[in-house]
Amino acid sequence: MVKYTIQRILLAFITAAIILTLTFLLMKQLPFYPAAGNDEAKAAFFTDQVGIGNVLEFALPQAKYGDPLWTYTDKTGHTHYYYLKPAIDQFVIWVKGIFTEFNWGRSLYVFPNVDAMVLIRSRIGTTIMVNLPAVIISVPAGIGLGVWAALKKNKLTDHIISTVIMIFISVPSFIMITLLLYTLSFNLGWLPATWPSENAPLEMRIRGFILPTLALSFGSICGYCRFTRAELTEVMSSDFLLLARTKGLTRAQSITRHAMRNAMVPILPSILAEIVGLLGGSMILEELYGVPGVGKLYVTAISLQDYNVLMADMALYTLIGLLSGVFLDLSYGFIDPRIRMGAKK
Amino acid sequence: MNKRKIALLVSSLCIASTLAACGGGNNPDSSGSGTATTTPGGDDTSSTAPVAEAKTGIASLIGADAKERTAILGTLEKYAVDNMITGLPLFENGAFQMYNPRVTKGVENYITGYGFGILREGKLTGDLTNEEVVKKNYYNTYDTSDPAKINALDDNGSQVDDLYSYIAGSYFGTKMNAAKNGYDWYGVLSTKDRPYIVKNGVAAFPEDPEATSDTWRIYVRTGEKGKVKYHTNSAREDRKAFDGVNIELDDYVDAFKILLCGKFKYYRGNELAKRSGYSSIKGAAAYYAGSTDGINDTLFEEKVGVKKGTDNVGDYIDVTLGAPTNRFYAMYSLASNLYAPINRRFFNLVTNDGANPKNYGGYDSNKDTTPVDNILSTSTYTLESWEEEKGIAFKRNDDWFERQENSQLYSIPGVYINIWTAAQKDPNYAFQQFLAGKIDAAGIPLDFIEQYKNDSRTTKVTGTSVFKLNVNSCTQEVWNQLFGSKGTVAQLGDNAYQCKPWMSNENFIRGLFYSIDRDAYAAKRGSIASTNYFSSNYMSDPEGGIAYNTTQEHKDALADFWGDTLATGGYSEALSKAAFNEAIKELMAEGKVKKKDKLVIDAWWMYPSHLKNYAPDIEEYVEKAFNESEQAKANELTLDVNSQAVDVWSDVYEKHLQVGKFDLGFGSISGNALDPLNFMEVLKSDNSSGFTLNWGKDTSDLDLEYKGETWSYNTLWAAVDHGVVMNKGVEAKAGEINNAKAEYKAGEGLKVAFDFRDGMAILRAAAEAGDEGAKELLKLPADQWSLDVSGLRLQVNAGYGDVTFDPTDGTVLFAEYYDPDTAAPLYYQELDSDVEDYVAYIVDGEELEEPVVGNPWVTGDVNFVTSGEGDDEVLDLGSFDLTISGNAGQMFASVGQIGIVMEVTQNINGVESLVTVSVALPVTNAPASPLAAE
Repeated sequence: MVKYTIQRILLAFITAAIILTLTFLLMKQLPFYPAAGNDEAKAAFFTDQVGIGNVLEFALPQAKYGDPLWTYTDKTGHTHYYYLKPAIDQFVIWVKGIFTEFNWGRSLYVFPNVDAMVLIRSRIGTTIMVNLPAVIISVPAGIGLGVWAALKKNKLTDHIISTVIMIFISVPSFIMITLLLYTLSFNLGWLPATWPSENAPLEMRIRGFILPTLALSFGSICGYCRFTRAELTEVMSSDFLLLARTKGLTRAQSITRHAMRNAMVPILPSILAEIVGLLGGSMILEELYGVPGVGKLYVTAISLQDYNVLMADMALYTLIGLLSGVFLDLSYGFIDPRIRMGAKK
Repeated sequence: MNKRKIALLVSSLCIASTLAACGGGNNPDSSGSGTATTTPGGDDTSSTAPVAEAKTGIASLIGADAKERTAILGTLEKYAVDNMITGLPLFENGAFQMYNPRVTKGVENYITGYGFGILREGKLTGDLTNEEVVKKNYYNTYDTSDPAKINALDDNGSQVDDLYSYIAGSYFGTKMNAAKNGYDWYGVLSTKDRPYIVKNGVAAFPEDPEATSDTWRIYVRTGEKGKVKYHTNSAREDRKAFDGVNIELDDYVDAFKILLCGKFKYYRGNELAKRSGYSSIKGAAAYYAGSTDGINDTLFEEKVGVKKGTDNVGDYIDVTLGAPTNRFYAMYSLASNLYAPINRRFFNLVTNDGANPKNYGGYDSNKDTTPVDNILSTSTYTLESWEEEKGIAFKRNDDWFERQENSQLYSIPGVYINIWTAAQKDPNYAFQQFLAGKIDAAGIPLDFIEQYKNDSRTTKVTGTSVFKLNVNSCTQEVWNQLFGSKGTVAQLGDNAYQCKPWMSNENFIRGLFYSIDRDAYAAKRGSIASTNYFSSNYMSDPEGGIAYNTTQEHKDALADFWGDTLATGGYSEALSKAAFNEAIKELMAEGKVKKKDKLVIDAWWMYPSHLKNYAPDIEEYVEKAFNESEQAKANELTLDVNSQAVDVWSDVYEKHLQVGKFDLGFGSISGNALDPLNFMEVLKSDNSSGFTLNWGKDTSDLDLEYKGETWSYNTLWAAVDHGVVMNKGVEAKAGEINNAKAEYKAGEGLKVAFDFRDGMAILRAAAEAGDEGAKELLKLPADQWSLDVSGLRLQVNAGYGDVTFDPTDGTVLFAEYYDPDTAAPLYYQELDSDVEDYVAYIVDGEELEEPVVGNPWVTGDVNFVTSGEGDDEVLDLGSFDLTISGNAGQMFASVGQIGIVMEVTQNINGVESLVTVSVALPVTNAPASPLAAE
């Protein structure tokens, strides 16, 4: 088990390294958009880019770097040739910075001058704060609905719950968020239309949590509900439960003492994984609702091509995703003693 | 050589191709047709030479005052409008704006270039009531992104500069005038309303507004007496210590030292160091280059034209600009908030003694400090709070001296800027927030125009550009002269574009102009219908705040052509049809159109969305007017406007408008709104600005009258812009290139020979031939008029190959050649002054590890023919014999065509301008490219 754990973690890091390398190199293939304006403005822009490390400047043309991005002859008659720095060179410098100083670079456009990792650290708290209520609500609500549906299997209650779940699962999250905004904020005016400022009254700031919590929890509730119903109905039809009833336990006793425990086996790990996934946030919600979290940071960094922030954010998401998968797999072994991850047959 | 270059460089800076998309006309062949019935003014506008004789000698109107410049501008505009070379105006990009009723504006009628004066002269009569509003008693507005910094010194956009302007003072600013119909410039951080002119070390108030100097003195507010202090709202003790500190004289100089410090690499400092002309500062480039280790006080003192001092008037700084200019432009160029004073101790504290320059006005790398902690205010507002991606609050500076003097000013306690990223993509978002009562003003988007344009809260603001359809009214012959194989503007090949015969018919073009219902067209787009060339923000008297479009000269310029149609947005169905009727008769009589023909106009647009949003209405107007005209029906003629869009917006200029490959083209360029006269250069048919977009009429024709004298459009413009020398009204040539030959000889290379002579030599030859005007011009003393061949080069393939000579002795200075397909450098050699020989750096595409000395592949001989002796010796003729050998020669020759370019510096009464003379010629026996064999 220990060996398996170490292997999985190492594999996660290797996978992350491959993903980040590919992402970095592919991103650097995006077109380079020089500044508009007169020659002085462009010359200043390119000097800036040289300082940042995206562009190389020479006094003579350099065929090995391909076509120059721009050439400029200054007042003294000297010509400057600007070339895009090769992606590999930039990658090597970036990797070196991470391994020698844990320096992920500074934000250039999103939050100029701020360390990319500092930026992410400053936003994670908000993201967790927004996502945590959704987890706290969605788990009991989803499991509760699932249990109810399972207990009323093939009855009207079950059909209603299943239909409603099907509808909500079919609606994409960004549509859901927009619908909630439109209905609860714009039309009814019950809730604020954007994430309230920290200077807003406490009452408004509390109400500001309602919409993201609803938006984030609907999907989870539906998922837990379906999963719970499916597992519980399967367990309830198993022989050992029949034996429990035969031995004299009431229906409620047999379900709570035996059925639920068995049904939770696959569900608990996904709850744990979702808690870990809190860190990643919801890009769509944060963008639409104006939550200054990690997800919004990611979207902004993409649109502004702030590569340092993007890569740091990407590293965070990649590691969260991979490690939560590892965690999920390993947790099976703890919850269900019959499962031993990495055990030899 | 006199290196003071002013006017043409200024004019080059003034004209800029902008991204706003959103200037024919007359067929010289048909100028005699004179069909007066199509003109609303009822006057015959066909070209007839005025009675007054054209001038010989120097004509310089540079020192004209604002009144005369307005008169000249009106004359030029009238000429342009009557000859339809302005382009077909459609609308001005003004907008409908809605304001919250609690906003009391400073003035109800929008003042162009100033606004409504809300913050300075206006007030708020209540709070915003929406519960989500953070600062209910502040003026609420919005932005679509959070820039995360407020240091405009290190930003290349306008958003940060707009934020910076709340807290950074400038030497001069504008305020509403007493009559509330315009604005006045006045001293803000300057204690005087104008800079003082400094000549020979003596400063004086510039009584003469046109007197020029390169050095100007600004008396500045300092100390307790200055009544301006630094302010901060930071909670940090080390920052709070600067709250209420006086601004000192050194702070004004330190601002320049910090801005231009090479180590900090501030964007605007870098840009300023590269600038030239009157908007630059002497020595900025040298200081920038020499301060890569940090602020260098000694170097600054030595090199830069910014000096402090104190005299009996007060503390001052003297600023020496890159070129002399008058008081208004000196004030204007120094009125930037980039020059706001900076407390150096504070700067060092925030940036760790310059180690982290990006901390200033932004966040530090650990986000321990915010922009609120890292900048001081020197203006009417202070930065109060900055909540990332939520909002930025500015609090009024109650200490501000203007408010101390007049408590009615700046009565609004603050400004709150909401950050709404959703507004980036959703054009209705901000307006919906306005309707919800969260902000105080919003522009009405297209979807809501009809519903709200007549709302009591709605007001109209003027625009910055007039959107036009540019017109190509060339005959094929004229087109070939401009763009054919020997074209003077571009060499695309003879008949590379097939000009439509109807587009060169004057009445046809008139028909187009009158056929468009601009009022309806603009109303549908929430804009302002326009028959003007200039938008409302162009000032004929920038110092007096007078917009050119409000002047009588402008109204007179439009009267003849547009007449009564001005009341209907330039639209008249009757006049349009009448014009088309006449056009059809003429075209049929000339055999250019037959019965049942289908006439096509190719119209080019900038974006595919224009084909949906702009083109259809234009097509409908034009086609309807033509197709329903009597003659069109009688002859079964139809007109079809074929609208097309380019893939990349700039292609509409580069591939169509600027090279004559269009009939109608949607496009616009903007110039300096404070110098509309300079902007008139873009209407010249010789394309001297490089931005001519309307073609057809030859603006060098002597058919313009000004003050009883005969001019051409070109010479009148030149006279007021930089001065002109004329021989009977025709601009004297600055130079000419003759007997140019280019031949490739295998084994030897490309041999190029040509003669050149400057303008003086041309005049001497003409004088010898009996030209009295030439004799008169030759008598002009050198300090009034001189010509100097300042550059000579050979070009191939639009600049991919270039050989530059020293015109005084024929030395080849450097030569280079690039592969036109890949832009890879193939050859590069230059004359190295240290070794006094040629050095080849790149040969056959390989950069040499050890550059080879004395192995030139370009050599040249020059012979000069002179006359006179001693002090009277003058150059009559220079002749070049040039050989480009080896592979380089084969490559040059293989292009098939070369260009010879001569640059002449003309000096008229001390004002220099650069004139270019060029010819293009084919290469005889042009070989295949050596690259083709690879």
